[in-house]
Amino acid sequence: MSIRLPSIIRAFDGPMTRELVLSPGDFGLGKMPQNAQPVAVARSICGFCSTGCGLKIHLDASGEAVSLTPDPAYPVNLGMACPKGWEALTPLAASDRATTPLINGRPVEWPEAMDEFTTRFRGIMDRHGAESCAFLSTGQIMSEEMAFLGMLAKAGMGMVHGDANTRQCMATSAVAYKQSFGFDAPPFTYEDFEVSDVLVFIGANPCIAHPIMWQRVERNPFHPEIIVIDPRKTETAVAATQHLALAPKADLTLLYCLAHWLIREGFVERAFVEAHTTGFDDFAEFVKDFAPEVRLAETGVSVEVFEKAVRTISAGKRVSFWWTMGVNQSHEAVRTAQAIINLALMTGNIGRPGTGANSITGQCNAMGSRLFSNTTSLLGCHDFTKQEHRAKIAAATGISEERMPTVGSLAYDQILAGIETGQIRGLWMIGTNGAHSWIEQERFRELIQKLEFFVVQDMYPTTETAQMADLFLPAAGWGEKEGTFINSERRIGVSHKVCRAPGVALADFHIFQLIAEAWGVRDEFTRWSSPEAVFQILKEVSRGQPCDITGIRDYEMIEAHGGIQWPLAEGSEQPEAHRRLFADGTFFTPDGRARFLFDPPRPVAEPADAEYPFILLTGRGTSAQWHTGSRTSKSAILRKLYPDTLCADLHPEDAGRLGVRDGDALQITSRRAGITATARVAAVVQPGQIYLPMHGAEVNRLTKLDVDPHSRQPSYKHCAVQIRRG
Amino acid sequence: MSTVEHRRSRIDDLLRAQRQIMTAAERFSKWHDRSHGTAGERYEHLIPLTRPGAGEQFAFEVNLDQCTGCKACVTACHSLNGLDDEESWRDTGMLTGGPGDPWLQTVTTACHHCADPACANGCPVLAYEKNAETGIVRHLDDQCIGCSYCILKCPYDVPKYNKKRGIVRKCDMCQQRLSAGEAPACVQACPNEAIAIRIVKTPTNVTGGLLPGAFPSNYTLPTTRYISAKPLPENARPFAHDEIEPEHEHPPLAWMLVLTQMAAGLFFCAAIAPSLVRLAGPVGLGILALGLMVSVGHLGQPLRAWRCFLGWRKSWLSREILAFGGFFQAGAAAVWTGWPALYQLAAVIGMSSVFCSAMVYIDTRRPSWAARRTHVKFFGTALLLGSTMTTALLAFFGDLSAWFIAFTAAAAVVRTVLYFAERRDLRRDLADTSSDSHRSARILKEKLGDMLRLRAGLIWIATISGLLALANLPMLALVSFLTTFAAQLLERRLFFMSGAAPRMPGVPMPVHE
Repeated sequence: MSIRLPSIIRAFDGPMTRELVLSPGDFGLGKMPQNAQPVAVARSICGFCSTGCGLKIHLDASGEAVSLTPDPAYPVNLGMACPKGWEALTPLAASDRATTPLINGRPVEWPEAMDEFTTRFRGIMDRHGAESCAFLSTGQIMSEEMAFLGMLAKAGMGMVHGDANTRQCMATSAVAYKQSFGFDAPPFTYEDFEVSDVLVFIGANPCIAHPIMWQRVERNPFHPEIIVIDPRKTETAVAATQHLALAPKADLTLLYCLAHWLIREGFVERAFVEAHTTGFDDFAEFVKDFAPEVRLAETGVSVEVFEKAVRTISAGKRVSFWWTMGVNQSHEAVRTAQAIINLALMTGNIGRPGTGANSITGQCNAMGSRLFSNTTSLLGCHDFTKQEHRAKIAAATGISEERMPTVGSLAYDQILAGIETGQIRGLWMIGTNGAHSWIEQERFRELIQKLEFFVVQDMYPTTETAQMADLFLPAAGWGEKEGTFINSERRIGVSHKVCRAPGVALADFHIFQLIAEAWGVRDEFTRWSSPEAVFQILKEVSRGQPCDITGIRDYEMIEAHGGIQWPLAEGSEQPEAHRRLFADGTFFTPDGRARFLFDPPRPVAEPADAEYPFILLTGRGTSAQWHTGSRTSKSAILRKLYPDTLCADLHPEDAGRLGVRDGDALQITSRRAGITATARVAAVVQPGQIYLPMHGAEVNRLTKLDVDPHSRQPSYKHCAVQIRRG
Repeated sequence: MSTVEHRRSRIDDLLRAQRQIMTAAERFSKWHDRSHGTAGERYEHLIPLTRPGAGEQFAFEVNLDQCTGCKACVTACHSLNGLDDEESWRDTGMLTGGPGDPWLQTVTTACHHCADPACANGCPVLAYEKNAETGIVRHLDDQCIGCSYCILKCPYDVPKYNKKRGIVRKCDMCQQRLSAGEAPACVQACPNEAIAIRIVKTPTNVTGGLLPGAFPSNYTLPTTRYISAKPLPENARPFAHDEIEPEHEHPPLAWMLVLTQMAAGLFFCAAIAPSLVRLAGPVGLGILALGLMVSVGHLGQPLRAWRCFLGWRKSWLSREILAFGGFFQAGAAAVWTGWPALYQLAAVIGMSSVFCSAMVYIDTRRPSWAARRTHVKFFGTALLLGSTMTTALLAFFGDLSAWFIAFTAAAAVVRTVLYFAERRDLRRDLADTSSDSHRSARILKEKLGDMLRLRAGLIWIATISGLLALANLPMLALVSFLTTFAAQLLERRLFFMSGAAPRMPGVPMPVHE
């Protein structure tokens, strides 16, 4: 239309048009909506996954967050965020936020809640001993809070047992590293993604689970070969140059076949192995049984595909190996992770840029939990049983030495088993939704019902778990409190309070302070006055350990450097943005040598059979979903990004046989329970397999409790089911 | 201080501290550094540095190889444009391939800023403006009357109805950012730089579709380019393609269509049987008024509706509204004067408006709304409801004359023909999996079977009672009319619910409000 009609006839402008006018933003933000122009900007680390992205939080005049954008200056994410990060503030404003403590669903004030907490737990512990009450925590709270919880429960209240949902995610990597390297020390930095010439992903789908890490792979200028080992054709497998679609849980055998071939064909980096490792000869002897020609049939991988991959690895100059939950959540997870570590060690792919046996962590502070949760090891990866360690921690924390725990805790599954036997009678669950996420859910729910006293501390009283609580404590969430997270590459970052918590909800840190007071141990925690004060304690705790952070002055220094990776011992030079471990080939074992550790593969607990002919795989649904969805389901825009019903991926062959089309209801039944899901027919899974996203609350009714003997991490990636058209 | 008091004051302290939020941010985290990270820098190679020349325009370019499914573009569009809670102008879908050589591809999609935008062509009030220089198709929010016709017209499901505001909103390629040398929100937010803005030759004729499963591009000439270094697999198809879901039922539109068509039918009957004018005229006019009220009432911004004539050059909706206006004026004049010539005029304009109504839907190019079927349905409804209503009126207020018998017979014939024609189409479409209407037929059969059966029952009752009414039973003429009316209302509901909308491959249907 060449002639512009008058605006009374054709309104090019007006109030609705002006609602969407953008104006230039300060703080390097570019154009921003007028109604969300920040007055100031704070920086924070995202509180969802372990990538640990830096976010710029846009503040209004009252200092409250109005929106956010990813921080271009932060070395982790370089100005990018996944949908969860973009929407990190939205779940805070959910209508079902907890605003007050609840006793059996009845709102009460904090003093009454604290009385209930202390009276009930104390009563149980008086009657049944200190071991009768336990806590189960999370990888979603800050390091300072984790340390406080671990010390309060054990040194303050006298509990013996405590664990966390990190058992479901990273326990395997922690144990594997500890056994192989002498310390739980993921060696890499994200820069390694950018400089490898061969990247091998085992049981990992970073395109969906860690998209901001995948960004680094896309930025790799060396046109790297990308090998994905995964039963499913994931987004990552599609983006890769090679995909080894192995049979579920055939990973250990496949990795031993790789080792066999590399040894046989002479690709072992002898000098490195001899100088820096022990146990290689035994390992070489052991994998003689894993000739690919003989054993490959078990893995479902063809000889051609295998050979192409192994030749790629052998030809690589900077080969990095990356794994996630496909490895960690297995019945033989630790040995699988160590089979990966063994490959890196024997080919000398460690300590150099673009190399490493690298576990990509799950939760935003799983790495903090591994150092400071005071559960499987005494604070700072010390030994409960060593007097000198207890004395050191007592001195660092200001807590009396005689209060220090002398034994380690039971693992998550053992605490639950303890409920069954009557050993555990009181349970305190913090920031995790076990009634949704724990394996073999029916059993979990039955056991919780058996407890005399069940306390849940969470942002939402509506989670499946919170609804079972006798006492519910309302917690502030990420963005409503302060503290540090440690990301996958050991980078410590600070998160800030930029929102007010609703009602009388309190930061977990403050709840722990209240409990310390109510329990009568306030004097033991006089130095635990604020997250930043506790950070100073944690520095002292770390002194002399491989994770020594005494060189970090305070939060301000962390922020000024764009996060700081551990270690940084006192007197160190200014830290570089990207640092990796083991550059000198010295590991954290007493003799400084890495270990080759291995065991023969074991059969799965529940193979497919005539009655239950399908293998159920579970895992991440989309990048817009996090764990049990207690937060991500609160964002309307995130809900748009995943299906509104539980969808099951099924291979076209199976679908044809069962007469199933897209959208049909499926009855999926295991030996434990039966559920309904909507079929999506695609060859992304192999025949005989079905995939369900773990975000559906009903999915873990199907799964079977089976744990790795070393890490006690449950095997979520394998159980047998039958499928009918429903 | 007693312990309880002490504890209380301690809690108060902590709650006070919890409400304090400026502490850390104020101390050292406030960020006043404006020197780096401006939204333009990183994206210089992703946006054009020059303006489009003659015959050129801006267009999205999506590098499929770089899109690995994180969907950050959707949330960034939402956040950086300050949109409502559930609102984003970018969607994601998915393609899959296999079973041999399985394949998966996320498809990010927003407005394709078409060379011949169907939304703009359909808009009755010219609320779309295609910028002559940039080619960006901009929606004029203050012009929009909220009729939602653009949603039916766009084969990519781009315009989204915003209930809160009663208007449609859509992607404008962040033209405000582009004009300041900044990258659009989605371009900025993609970690893998999969989305770019390029200058392209404005397409004039194209074959095929944007992607497998996308609507043929020759309809609107979309400008987005999906590129990949590898050819897409032969067997690529939208993910979960076989899943079917009924579309929105649009109750006001169903009522409006059935009522206005009935009115046209009544005036038609009155025009051919002048002895009926006393009865059919006023009733027809009243029904028409009711239908038009419903149609205005369904608009999100009815007060802006007076501009609806603006789009008459291209928009069948604009033409339909004008035709209805003429129909009402002619009808009112006819009823006022009682002149048979005016009745004939009203009948002609009435039938023209039925034609326009049909064209409104035919012009969307949804396969199940193809010309023959829609014309048969709409004109059939006009004749059927006109004749059944006429018989009912005659039964009560007139006499059981030859006209009564004639209209009863006509109604029975039209009703039967309509019903069996629909059944035949449904059977054919179900049997022919390659038919464009197969999906709609599946929706009818698998999701709306109850409604189909109910409609069949109503048709039978209407037919039998209509014939029995000949035996001097006026009540049965009324029953026949009412059941016929209900059957046609149901037919129109099915028309909307089974009118499978084309979408970008694998993009889920938006949640119905």
